Amino acid sequence: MKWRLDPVMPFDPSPDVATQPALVARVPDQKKLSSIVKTLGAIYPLTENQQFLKRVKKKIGSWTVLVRLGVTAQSDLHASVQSLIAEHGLEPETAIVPAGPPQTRAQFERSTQLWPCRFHEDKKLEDLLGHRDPDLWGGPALSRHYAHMASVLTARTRAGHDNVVLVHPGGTESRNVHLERDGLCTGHPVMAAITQSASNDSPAGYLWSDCDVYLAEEPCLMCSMALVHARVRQIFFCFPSPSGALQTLVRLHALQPLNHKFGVFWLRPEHGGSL
Amino acid sequence: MSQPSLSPGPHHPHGPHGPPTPALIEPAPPAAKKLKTDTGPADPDVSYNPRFMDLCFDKAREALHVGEVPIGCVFVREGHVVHAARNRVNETRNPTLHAEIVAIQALERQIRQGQGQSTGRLAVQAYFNRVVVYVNCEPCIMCASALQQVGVQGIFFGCANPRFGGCGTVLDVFQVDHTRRWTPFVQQGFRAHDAIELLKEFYKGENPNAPPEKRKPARK
Ligand SMILES: [Zn+2]
Ligand SMILES: [Zn+2]
Repeated sequence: MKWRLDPVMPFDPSPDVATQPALVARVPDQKKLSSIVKTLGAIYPLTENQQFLKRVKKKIGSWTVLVRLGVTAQSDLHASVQSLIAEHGLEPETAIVPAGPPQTRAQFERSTQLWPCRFHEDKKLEDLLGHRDPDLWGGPALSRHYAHMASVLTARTRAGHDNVVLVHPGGTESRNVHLERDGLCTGHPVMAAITQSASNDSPAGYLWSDCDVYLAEEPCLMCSMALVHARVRQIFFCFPSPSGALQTLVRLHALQPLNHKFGVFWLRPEHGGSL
Repeated sequence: MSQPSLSPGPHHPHGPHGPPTPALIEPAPPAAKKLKTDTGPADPDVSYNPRFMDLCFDKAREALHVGEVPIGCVFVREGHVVHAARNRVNETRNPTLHAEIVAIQALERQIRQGQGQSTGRLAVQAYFNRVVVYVNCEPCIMCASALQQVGVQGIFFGCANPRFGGCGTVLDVFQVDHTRRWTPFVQQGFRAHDAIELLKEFYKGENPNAPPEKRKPARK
């Protein structure tokens, strides 16, 4: 069977760039550029989350300044900016610029086609997107991930049962969950498996920090948050769920205030193949 | 603590629980959702009663004395306390045992013992549909989702939970998870100041120089 492993990033990794309108102006005289930029910066400063946009777009022999975001009519400009335009013979025009800072190199490349942007590449993130992290996509690692998921999927074919595989520095544990017995409403595989580890004094310990967890189904909000409380390192799931909280309803690992972040991976047979 | 009972009780055409018995989770159409309200239901059995919040604080203090994050909750059904619980994370070494989960699981066990192991999810939900929850701190995302999944009628809480709050502070679980087709009413701010002081008392015991993410079990 062929398998596929993809990271579920805490943001939308699509290279498509959201845009916003802006008023820009060509500057005929380069010598005036710095004073124009200074004046514009005082009247229309770029806020912290707009600072990814550069103020000036340079092309050979041509300079364009970003005058104001979100506005396309020259009449909407402050009087002093209108006189700045008149005084220096600026040529205003409308433009479409990126709405938010690029997160990935692919997004950066698309964004700069619209308007020059600042960008700091996050190498770990690019390695994830490019499937280059050897602990995930390296041959031996990949076979291990597949084997753990296959064992989860095999164990849960017994009616009324589910299974969770837990990999920690001390070894691998397979936790069988009897869905009826372990509770109807809160006895989901994750909750039951954490509880089993607690009562068995498993070497995985009280907190599952440094643990990787293999789940058949994308966990719900309750279970995903339980995995935050348990401080797991990485979560692998096979089937997205309508009430899933790592990819479907929300990407829980993207929420800023949570004081623990984990890696999330979608590990499934290629072409939705049969199991 | 009174035994939970699954009998629907004497039949009243329009009460005593106000609107018709809240529909069970599975068949409830989206229109049957209980909406968040600032005024709360008119039914005295489900309107705020400070006595129950005081009980939460008793439980929370009990937690504090044994080194747990001081959070306590009280589940009230038809005007009676059916369960009171506190946080048991450190004692059980189980990071899921927040007060609300302890209470839900204890009640579920009681219901199923009374009704037999075959008690279905719908029977459990029918029971919780008439339960209102009091808790001194906003339920976290895990607990808010659990409370939605068992189908409690409403939640009264004290202070907001800026790190994990699932009733709107970090995430509004009831808004996000439309698959449950159930929205408990939520009212907040009851004895909020006392709740914050109690939490501060707990965190004072920790190394104040540690950055928040390095501090110990702190989970609520
Ligand atoms: Zn779950
Ligand atoms: Zn909680």
